[in-house]
Amino acid sequence: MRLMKIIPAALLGLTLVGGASTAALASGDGAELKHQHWHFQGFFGQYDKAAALRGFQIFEEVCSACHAAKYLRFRDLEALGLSKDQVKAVAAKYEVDAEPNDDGMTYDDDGERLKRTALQSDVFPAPFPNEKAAASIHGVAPPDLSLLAKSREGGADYIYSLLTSYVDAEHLTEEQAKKAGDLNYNAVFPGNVIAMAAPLSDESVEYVDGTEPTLEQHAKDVAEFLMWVAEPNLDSRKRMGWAVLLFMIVFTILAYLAYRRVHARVHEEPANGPWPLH
Amino acid sequence: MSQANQYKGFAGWLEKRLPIISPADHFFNHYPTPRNLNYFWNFGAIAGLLMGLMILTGLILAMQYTPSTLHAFDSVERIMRDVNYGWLLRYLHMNGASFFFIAVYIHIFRGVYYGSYKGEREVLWILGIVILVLMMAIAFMGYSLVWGNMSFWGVTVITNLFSAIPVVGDTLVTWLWGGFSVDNPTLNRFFVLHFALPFVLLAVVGLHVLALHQVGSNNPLGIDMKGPQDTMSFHPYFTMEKLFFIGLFFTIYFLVVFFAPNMLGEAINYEPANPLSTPEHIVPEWYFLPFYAILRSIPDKLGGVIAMGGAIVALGLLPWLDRSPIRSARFRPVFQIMVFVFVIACIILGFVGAQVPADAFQIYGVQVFGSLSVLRTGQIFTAIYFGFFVLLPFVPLFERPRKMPRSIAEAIDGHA
Repeated sequence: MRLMKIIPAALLGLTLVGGASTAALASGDGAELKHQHWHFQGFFGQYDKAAALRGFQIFEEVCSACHAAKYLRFRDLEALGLSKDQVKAVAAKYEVDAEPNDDGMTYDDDGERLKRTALQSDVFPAPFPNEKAAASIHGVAPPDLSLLAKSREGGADYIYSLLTSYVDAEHLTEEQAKKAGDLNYNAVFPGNVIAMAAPLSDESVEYVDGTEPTLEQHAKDVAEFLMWVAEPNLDSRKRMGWAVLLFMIVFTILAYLAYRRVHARVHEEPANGPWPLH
Repeated sequence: MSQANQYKGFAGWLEKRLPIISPADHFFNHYPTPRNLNYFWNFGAIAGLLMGLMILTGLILAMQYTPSTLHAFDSVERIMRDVNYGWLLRYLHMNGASFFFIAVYIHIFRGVYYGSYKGEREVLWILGIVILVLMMAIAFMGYSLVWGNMSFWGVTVITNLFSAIPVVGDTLVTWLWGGFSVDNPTLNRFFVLHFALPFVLLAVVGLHVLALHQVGSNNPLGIDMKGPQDTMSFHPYFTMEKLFFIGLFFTIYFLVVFFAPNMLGEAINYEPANPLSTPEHIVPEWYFLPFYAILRSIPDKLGGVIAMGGAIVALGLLPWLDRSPIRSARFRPVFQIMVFVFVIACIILGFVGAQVPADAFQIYGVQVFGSLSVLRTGQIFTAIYFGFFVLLPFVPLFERPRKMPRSIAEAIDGHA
């Protein structure tokens, strides 16, 4: 049964595919996602740093008004190509809660929270002091964006599709309008009714690098940025992966040759009597 | 022990003072191994290697992890972002669990197909099933430590199953939780157990290997070794083969770790645990899906729990359910077909476990059984799963075995 020699490898593959089916579970009643080509896809894919930086600009000017990104530190931006001084300058635009002062106080005499200028080591400041305050506008707190690209089925495709699939009030069918009520209608969001109003449109942000400021461009850039925030080590992970794979392939080939060679010795010997037990 | 010391140099010096050289020598150099082993005989070694890797990566991860509902999720993200190569350790560990199960499931298939539970191997087999159960417990608790939203709801659903036990059920669940819901005490004890149980597993694996060396390896023919003409030394012949196959297996493992580390996981577990927001579909990790499907196939809660437990117990009873004196499925035409049907049932149950019971069953978007619902499909293949064990004792009554060679040597050389 030569077949039983091949089956282990086939089974291996099959089990993998079977496992992946869990992840392939339908993502709910949202519409089909608009699949994009992403720079970070595939074996050799790495982040498009310029796009991610443009995405950061959108995050800074638009998203961060309501959304926090609690795992994003200013110093992380160096990985996108900013210099230390540039990162310092970005951080200096923000204020964060100060550490206790010399008197051990964190509030001033009027009861206001003491603040200080943000440093590179600080986390990007959240727009609201707590969940309750964040939920005060829409009833639900806007989700933290630092892991959004990993916690949503479809990842960057989902974010891109969501941002570009709002339907204007005047284009809604009667049924859709009824469904949306005071909120907004989105073709991709599960359940279609979303509290967040369309955050981006053409020319939401003026790009410094002269890229055309269309809605699609904005959505794509911010999705690239959010993927980077969610998985900042993707570039180095893949780079290490190539080295590891190359090593493993060479190792496996050598091990195979060694194994064949050792076994070839066995085939020469059978006439000489007992099989070597040592 | 008054055995003459046959070892020279440092080995001889050490053996005189601490007798560890001779057992190691026996394990590797004087372990008569059937000549005819195929690649299926590599998965035990691979599983052992992965266990070592899991313990090693787990040990380092535990140094950085905080078992508290307030900090668990953040500490995992800190490992992913701020700990040097923390992402590597974590991706190795979380995908290592999946590949550990892949290796062990194939290892179990090998055992069933070639009848490796026969011929004084009952204890060896039972120890293997104990290993499987321990692995499941450890994997389940490990998944909860991430404290993502699927972790939380997975723990809630599975621990709640114990409430189905009559009379003491609810008390038992409260005791398991250490409170009246899944909360900090639950996470804390799961961390302790997830850390401690792998060492119990290690001990049981040691016994498993000891039992193996007592009885000897089975082989694809399922015929006992009759003499040196049937055997080869474990080292270097099989150590070299294993080295090659380990290379192959780990290439695939690293492919996933470095290029698709989240492929086998649920996206929603990157959202922190939230007792107020239930995920749309609560699904366990892929390696539990067939058992989850069996659980859901029985309309009664207690019945489902019993069926799920019974699915593993039945595996453990194989040495007594299978009454045929012939081991290898190669010579058992009926058993051979039954095993393949059984494997297909397990795979389909895996798909069933990932889908919503009321939907039409599908595999990658194809409704292979027409409009048959997921629930019905699950029930049919649960019946097939258990049917395998029920039918097994009766197979020898009507099965006509194929002609067998008299020895391993005869099968290979044409003469004994």
